Amino acid sequence: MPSPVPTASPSASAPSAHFAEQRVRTLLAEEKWRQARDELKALIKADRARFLPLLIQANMGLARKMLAGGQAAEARQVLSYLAAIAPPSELRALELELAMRSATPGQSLPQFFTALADPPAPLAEAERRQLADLLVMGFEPVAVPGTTPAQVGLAAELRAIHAALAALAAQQWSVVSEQLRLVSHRSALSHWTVFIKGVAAFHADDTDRAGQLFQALPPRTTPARAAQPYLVLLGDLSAAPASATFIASAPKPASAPSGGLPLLTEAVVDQVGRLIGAVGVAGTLLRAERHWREGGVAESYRATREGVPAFPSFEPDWVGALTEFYFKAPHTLTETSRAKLMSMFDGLLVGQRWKNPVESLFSYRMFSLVDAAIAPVEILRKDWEFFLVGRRALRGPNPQLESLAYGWLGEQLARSSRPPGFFPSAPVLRDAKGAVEVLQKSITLDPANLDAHLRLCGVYDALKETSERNRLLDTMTARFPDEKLVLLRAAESCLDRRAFVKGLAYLARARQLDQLDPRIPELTVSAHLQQARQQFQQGHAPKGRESVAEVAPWLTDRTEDFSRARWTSAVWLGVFERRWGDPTHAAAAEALARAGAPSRSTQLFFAHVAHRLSEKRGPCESPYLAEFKTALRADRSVGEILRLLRIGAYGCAQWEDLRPIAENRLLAEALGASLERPFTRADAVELLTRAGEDFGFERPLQRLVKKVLHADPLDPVFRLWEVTGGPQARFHLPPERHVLQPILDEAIRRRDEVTTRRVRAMLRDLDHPPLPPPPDGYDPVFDGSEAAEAAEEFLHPPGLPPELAPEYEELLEALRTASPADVRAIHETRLPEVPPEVFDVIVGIAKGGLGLPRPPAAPRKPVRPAPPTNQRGLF
Amino acid sequence: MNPYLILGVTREADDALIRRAYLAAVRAATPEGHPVRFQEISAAYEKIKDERSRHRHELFDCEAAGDSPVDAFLRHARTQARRAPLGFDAMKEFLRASSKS
Repeated sequence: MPSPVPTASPSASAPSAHFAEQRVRTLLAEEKWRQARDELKALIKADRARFLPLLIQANMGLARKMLAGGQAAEARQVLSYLAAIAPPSELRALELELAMRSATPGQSLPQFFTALADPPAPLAEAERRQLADLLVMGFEPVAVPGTTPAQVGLAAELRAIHAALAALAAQQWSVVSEQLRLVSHRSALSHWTVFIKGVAAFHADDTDRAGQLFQALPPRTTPARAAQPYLVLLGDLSAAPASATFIASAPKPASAPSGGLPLLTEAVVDQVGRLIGAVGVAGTLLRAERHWREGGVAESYRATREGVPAFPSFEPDWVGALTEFYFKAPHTLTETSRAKLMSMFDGLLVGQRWKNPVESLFSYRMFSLVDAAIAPVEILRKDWEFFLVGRRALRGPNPQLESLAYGWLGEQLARSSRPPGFFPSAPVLRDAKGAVEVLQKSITLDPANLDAHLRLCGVYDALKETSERNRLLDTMTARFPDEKLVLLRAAESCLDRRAFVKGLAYLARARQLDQLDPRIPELTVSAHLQQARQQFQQGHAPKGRESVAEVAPWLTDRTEDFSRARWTSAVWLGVFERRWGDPTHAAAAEALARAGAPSRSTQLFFAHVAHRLSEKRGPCESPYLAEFKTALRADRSVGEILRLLRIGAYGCAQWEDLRPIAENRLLAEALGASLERPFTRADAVELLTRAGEDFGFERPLQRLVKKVLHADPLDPVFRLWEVTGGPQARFHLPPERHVLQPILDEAIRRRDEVTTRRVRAMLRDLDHPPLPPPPDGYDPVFDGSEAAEAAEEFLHPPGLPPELAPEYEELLEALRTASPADVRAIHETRLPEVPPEVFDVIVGIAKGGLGLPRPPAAPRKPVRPAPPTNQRGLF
Repeated sequence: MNPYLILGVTREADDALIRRAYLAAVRAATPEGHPVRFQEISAAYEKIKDERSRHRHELFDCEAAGDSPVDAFLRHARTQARRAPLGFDAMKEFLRASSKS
């Protein structure tokens, strides 16, 4: 709002008069006629000559506004006042307009024609257009009121404009063009042709042309005003008058991008609404918009809910669009705004105060989708089922859709998460029983729902319910005989239960469906080798050799493809022969493997891993180990260590209990020695990825990182590893922002997307609010007995998985042999979160050689001769 | 954006009708002439091209319908208004209301 203008006086200074004039001109430009007139009444006393034209303009604008609003009597009063201050020639158009509004259009037409076609004195361009607009807006059948050629021509043009508008409404585009050709460029009606062409271009999706035409319209004419909503729909918001007072004070909208939509005036929104048949909604919409922008998302919803009777709605109209907007908004809102909106919906649902069934339906759907990952499973299930029941009631049953919905619910219930606690433990499903139940329901509703079958299969896998899974896979192979994914799952299941012939048959069918999927030959080779191992073990060495020979068509010359390389199949044969077959054959196979393998140590390490995989028993032993150690001493390079690590990873993928701890220790030692030789950055990066979190590699990797950073101190990959602490990262506090920021900048500069993503994620984590401070009086100092208890808990963590025992033994071993300085270093680097008192007790136990007491042994099951099932891969 | 509205079909339309509407829409808005509109049409078609996609869209679509209520309204109007011009009487009313604004 402009501030009040001080009463002008002859002594008013020139700068203040200039300032007042500027403000009045702004008001005139904004068509705030009454306000401008009131200010000018005061100003004109100071300088009549300067402000009189502006006063006339303000009064004429006010009179026209009154006429447009149907206030003819008030307009007549203004006109009377104008007659006293303005020359008569300037008032002619206004007088005609008043006459037209006062009389019937038929009565005033002759005056218009005369004024436009044969004016006694030339009219100003703006006045001509005002009169022309009134003529068009009369929409009366035009009989030629005069006989002069100019009047006849004008009448023809007027008829053409009306005909073009009618043809436009009927989508007769060629008629529109024909009619518009009849209107001369110099005609007073020419701006109507521009408008009509613009509308036609808008509906022909020619947005550029439509925008150009609309913007070319002379201002303050009816076509220019009518073009505003079209321009808004074309995305040109600068053309539409915005509600400046609101924008200036509005905070950033809850979800709008920066530089978002200016708040449009009610008139423009109303006109846009008229274009889609939504009349009279502008006020409600703008109220809702204001609330939304001020962060009152719930108030915004309430404003729409109360102002639009049909809201919320399923229909694909503007009410449906608003419904969709509000119920999808929580997915994009900030946390605070989302909480506000969802709390309001929660209140509506709890109080059963929903406006119509659609509101409850959409609310349940929204709660389910937004909270899917965090809601308690029983609430998630209840909400989702309420949604489905509501939908069924509203739109009828739809088994396919409900099957899909239950499949999704099953997926949510089958999400796995690690139980909270310091020690990592195996992930568990959120609600395994519920997941099985809803996935079975999904399959019952739509037996053709492949995704639900595959998900249920995955749940059975996770639950290790192999018989259920195998039964399901049999059903799946019957229902989906041409689905490659099903055939591959079925083949894997057959290999698990040693049904090699059936598994190979599934693989053959899968190959017919997809010849390029590399997983199919990999599984085929694996199946033949597993079959060979079984045959060797059962004393059928010749059959075993035949089975190994079967893999020949699937082998490749890529030495790094450990699943299908020629030399690895020779290694397997050598292992089988040496273990169960003929030593001479074994020697021949080993010679073949040696010839094809990239190096001697690679061949021996692979043979060692293959031996362990075929034995599937605990300790790190094999007939190849001693020879491998010798070969490794002679063949130390970073590239070689990397290849051996890849073989280790391959072994772990085949058998999750392989745990190559002793092997890793060997490789870590070898890595330390190999760092004297040159290596590439790519090798160093892969080493960090493969061995970065293994404790045994801590020292050699620190040296490696140091060497790389010596050559390139800013390298973001290695800087990040350095500041996060490598293998101890999980025990460390994350680095601070000022440490991470330069690494992020460098990663962005080098276009290192992986590091950029990692550092950004760490920075995001830093933004999370810190844990609340401890309550007053809390003293974290331990006395002796508490320290002993804490140490006891550290050494006997409840639920410590047995597989982590070696890691703790290794830690205790390190403490046992470490010097006092090293003990301090271990505390600082590996166990910084353990209080010193507790750490001292742990060191005492370690020095006392007590070691890590084993968890109580599980009751032994009777040993079955057959190896365990449900193991992927080779053995 | 509502894919049904973009393609100009009802929720009850079947695969064949949706495909016909899609082909007609891409003929009118070719990728060379109207790249943005073409992308909009293609994305809409992907969402509802078959029954399974339509069910997925109804159940799980979370794409924001706008940044604010008026933005959502304008996005809807942008598509809806283009489909056909106002009838002659509605056009007269629209122009009269414009002249008064």
